[in-house]
Amino acid sequence: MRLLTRKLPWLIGTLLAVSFFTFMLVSLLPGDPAVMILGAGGVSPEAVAQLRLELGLDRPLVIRYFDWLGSALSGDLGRSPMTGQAVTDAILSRLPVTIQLGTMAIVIALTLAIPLAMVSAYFAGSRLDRGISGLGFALMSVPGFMMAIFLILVFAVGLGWFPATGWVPLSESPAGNLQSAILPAMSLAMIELALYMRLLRTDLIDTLQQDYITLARAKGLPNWLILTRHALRPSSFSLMTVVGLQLGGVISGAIIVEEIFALPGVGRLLYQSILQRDLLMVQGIVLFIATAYVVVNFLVDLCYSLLDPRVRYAE
Amino acid sequence: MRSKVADSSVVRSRAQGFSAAARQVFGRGFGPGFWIAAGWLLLVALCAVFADWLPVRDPIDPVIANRLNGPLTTNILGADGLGRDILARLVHGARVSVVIALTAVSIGMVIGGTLGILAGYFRGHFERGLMAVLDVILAFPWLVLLLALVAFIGQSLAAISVAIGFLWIPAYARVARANTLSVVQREYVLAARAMGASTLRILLREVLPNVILPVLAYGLVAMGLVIIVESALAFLGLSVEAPQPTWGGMISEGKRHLATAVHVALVPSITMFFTVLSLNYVGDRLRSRFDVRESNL
Amino acid sequence: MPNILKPAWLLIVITTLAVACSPGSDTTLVGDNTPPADPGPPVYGGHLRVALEGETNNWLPGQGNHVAPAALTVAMALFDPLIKLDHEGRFRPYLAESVTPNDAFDEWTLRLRPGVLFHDGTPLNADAIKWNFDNLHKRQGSVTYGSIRDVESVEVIDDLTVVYHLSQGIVPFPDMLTRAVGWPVSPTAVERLGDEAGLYPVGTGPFELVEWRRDDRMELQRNDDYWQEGLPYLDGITFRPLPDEDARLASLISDDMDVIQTLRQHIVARLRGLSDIHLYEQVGNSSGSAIFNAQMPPVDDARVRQALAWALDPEALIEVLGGKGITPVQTQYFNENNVWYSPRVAEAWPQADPQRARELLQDYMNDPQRSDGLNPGDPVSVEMMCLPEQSLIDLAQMYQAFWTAVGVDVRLRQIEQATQIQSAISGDYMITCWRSSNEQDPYTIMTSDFGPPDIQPLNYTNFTHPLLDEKIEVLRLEPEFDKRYAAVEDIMMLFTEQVPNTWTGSTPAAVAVQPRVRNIKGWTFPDGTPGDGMPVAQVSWAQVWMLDDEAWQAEQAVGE
Repeated sequence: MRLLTRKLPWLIGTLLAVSFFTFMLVSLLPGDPAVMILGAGGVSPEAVAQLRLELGLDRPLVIRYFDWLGSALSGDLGRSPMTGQAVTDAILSRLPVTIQLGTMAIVIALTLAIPLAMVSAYFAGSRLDRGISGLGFALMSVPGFMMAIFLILVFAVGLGWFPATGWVPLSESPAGNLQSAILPAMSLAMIELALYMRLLRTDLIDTLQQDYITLARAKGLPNWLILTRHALRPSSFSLMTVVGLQLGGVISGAIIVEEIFALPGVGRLLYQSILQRDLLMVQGIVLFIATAYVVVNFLVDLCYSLLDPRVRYAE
Repeated sequence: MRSKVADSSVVRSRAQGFSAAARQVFGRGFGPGFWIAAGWLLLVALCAVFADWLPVRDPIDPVIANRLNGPLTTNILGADGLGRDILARLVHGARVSVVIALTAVSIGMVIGGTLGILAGYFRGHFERGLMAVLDVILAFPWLVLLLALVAFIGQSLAAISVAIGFLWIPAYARVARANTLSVVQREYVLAARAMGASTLRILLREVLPNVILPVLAYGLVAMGLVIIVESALAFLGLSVEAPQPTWGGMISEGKRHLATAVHVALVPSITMFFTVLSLNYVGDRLRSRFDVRESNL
Repeated sequence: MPNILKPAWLLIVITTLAVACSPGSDTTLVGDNTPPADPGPPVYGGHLRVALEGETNNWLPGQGNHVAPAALTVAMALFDPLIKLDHEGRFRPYLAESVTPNDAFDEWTLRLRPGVLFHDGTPLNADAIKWNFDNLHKRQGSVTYGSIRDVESVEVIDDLTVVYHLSQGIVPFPDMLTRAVGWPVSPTAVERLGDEAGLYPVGTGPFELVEWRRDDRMELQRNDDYWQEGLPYLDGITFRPLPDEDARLASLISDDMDVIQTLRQHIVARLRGLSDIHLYEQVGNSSGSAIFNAQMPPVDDARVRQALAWALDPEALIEVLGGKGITPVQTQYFNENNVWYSPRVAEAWPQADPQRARELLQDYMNDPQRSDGLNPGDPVSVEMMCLPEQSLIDLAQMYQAFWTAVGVDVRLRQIEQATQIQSAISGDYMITCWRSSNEQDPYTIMTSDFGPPDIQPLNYTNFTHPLLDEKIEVLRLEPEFDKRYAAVEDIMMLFTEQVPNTWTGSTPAAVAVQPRVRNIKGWTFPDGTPGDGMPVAQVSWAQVWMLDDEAWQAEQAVGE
């Protein structure tokens, strides 16, 4: 509890800074939103001026920021002047896609990374270890979009197992949903997989040095038990931290992957909105993502402090 | 100094009772894989430096008759959608990739490294402030920051390098700070301080030399990531302006022809893959010598 | 780590060999994909799945960007235009019953059909037309405001009659009502939905909205109260935006989609090689172009613009786009099949003569009064900007190669759409990749592209010429086709000398369907007059049908 009261001001401060940075970043983008709304066919100086007035773009930046922050705090992120859709509605309607994609990617990455890293750490230095590390290096050397195109070529065009584009909502058909999600999730998972694997391997090797592991070995516990019960648990803290810190990377990946697979997720909405200078939409989405990132990492940090005795005593 | 390599050899010999590999890693230096990778990197670097003097065709001269010809036909590695020689574009693209990678990593290294050392040395408000700013920056997905930066400063070679370099400042600041924190506790720094050496002198003579090696070693891995980031930008059409060839640009150019002429995308993809792989591998090997712990990032 | 690298090297060798040994892609395949001349008797029922190249931001006419092909084709399901073009390019009332001008062509009386209802049951009457005009279009900040600058007001005469009052006589006024201005939406629905009206379009079209999930799908169902008796044939349509051209093509082949649309030459080329589909094509007026800012030295000088045109080989530009043999070289605002096309202009259009280009450039360079202020003999340098889209990036590099070959320094700049439009409006550019011309009347096109720059913001080239202004006046007031044609030809001949822009190839519009899908192009007006097919892949969905299993098997049996 004491911990929470001490860390809460930090959280609030960070979130405020994030909101300010978001607003400035987006508002200062070159290109006039009014011109984009009117399109190449509809612009005239008067129309642009009129529309800027209607959108409130003529008011000073600082005032616009506080207005925006005020309504954002009450859950209203405004309404996109380009589509007429409320920003919160737009985000909420697309969030399930991105959350499912991200979760599936992280789960795939973890289920592959943990056993691989354990084998790698246990047989550290062996051919097997070097093979697995090499695989990790290889995965890290392929950009997400190339992985996506490669997976499409092999599994969609070549084998025809999965659709190349499109999204089937879970409510429509669970099987179809899984089918449409698997390739994009795999493309996202591969880079994460490499990162998790390398981190966990280093961490496990470190843990395996500890005295209590030697003790456990001396007691004659089987190797698999030592690895899963005694070695993996302390390493899971740092793994959790990295998964949290990597959220930004997953979102960046999702932008590209959703674009390639034509998925109706938040990443694609964000990218399209940036190109169209739909400022309120971009602000809303970036604020949402950044806040989610800060809060998730705050919670990870909190769990870490509460659960890991070393950190708890240090406090 | 704790060494990961030493650690692993201990574990393995304990677990396996198999000690020959320890000699391979330690005794015989880096092993053949390292030298193959380093050789490839050297080749790329030579192409980058001597691109103009190498006996390759003009990388931006379209010959429509050769359009989409496969490898080993009119062109050794084939021709692209405009009938330009892919080999020539690879060689000249190496230059652009190397320039971007070097510039971006240098920017991150110098600015981030300086901030990190200062934060690690002086601590206090400056450290807390810096870490708070870095936390805020890290809360934004890197691609969003990059898109915004590119929109501001344009798509010239310099602009792209600077934009990508900016992304590396937080990472480097963290690496430098973590290493500085461990260095300032060492006896020789404490001794220098006790002897009344000036702050600047301690920073330059005692801290910097001990921080710079791990930071440099991290640089190779970072360069690999820069090349990947550049290719992602190129995929969105937002990397260095045509007609300058970049590997990322060549891949996204080739995407249009995947169905009819797969080599246009495949050849630069393979080149890029091996380069990034080599950077990762060489960087990791060097890094493990200097024991930069990933968990410190 | 040689044990890891080795297989990878092997892989390269294998792939390289495989690629090298694969047959070249030059062989043009021709598949059996011609739609039957007689589509057979219509069949009711069925749900069509249609993949489009893009998504629309907003469905409210006057707010959404409704010039993109993907938007136009969906609009044909949701809305009905008051006026459409027939097979001879003449305006004919479609949703309207009649439209008649006064003698001065500055008052147009529009009569509506009785009994037409919007999807929400609101009647389409004179008040609705006036409400649409006043609230959606004649409003500063509407997308359509500029296109109706000459229409001053709409007057309600009786329940089914309105009069459009124009500030000056315009013979081709009905042209305005073929586009978004002429798509009535339900006033009650718009007022009820407020800010969200653009999300729930309520028109009079053959299909009504069930659900729209942006960037994913739009579900439409049959409008049972449609004003055309017996239409539409289909029970429903699902439109899905699949922006990736290859993925869209694959979705047709894998039978995930019944209909796909494309405007890309290289995709049309691949469609032509497919069998087991039906391919409908229609070449449009719209063409890729490079426009010059006639107020920016050195391209303010007609000699430089002409030289740049002579330097280009449009065949090579088309080939880079993958359109060799797919679309003809464009030489004017209208393509070969269009009524306004002039062979004389095609003959005169400057192209593919680098020698002429060099001579003209020499002439300019040695002119002591040269407009760019450089010393005589200095090379000419130009800057061209293009959107960061791959085919345009390729194209821009071809322009650069051609112009460099005649001694011009060329700098390419990639800019985002947001900045491109702004630069074009403010005249802050020299040359830019563009898309010029469309299916509208020559008067509409010329007034918007070449009106006086101070009152016409859409004149991005800032090009003006006394002869042009004179001929536009002819187009405005002359009802007789032959005289209008002569005026268009004179303008196009002027352009061959003045070169306000250059061209690549005409845009092919293609719609490819599963063979069960019928009558993509064969729509007719209520009185049976054939329509204009599918300009820019804009399909009139009311008259499309799909064979059910029974009809399909019966047809297959006859075929054998």
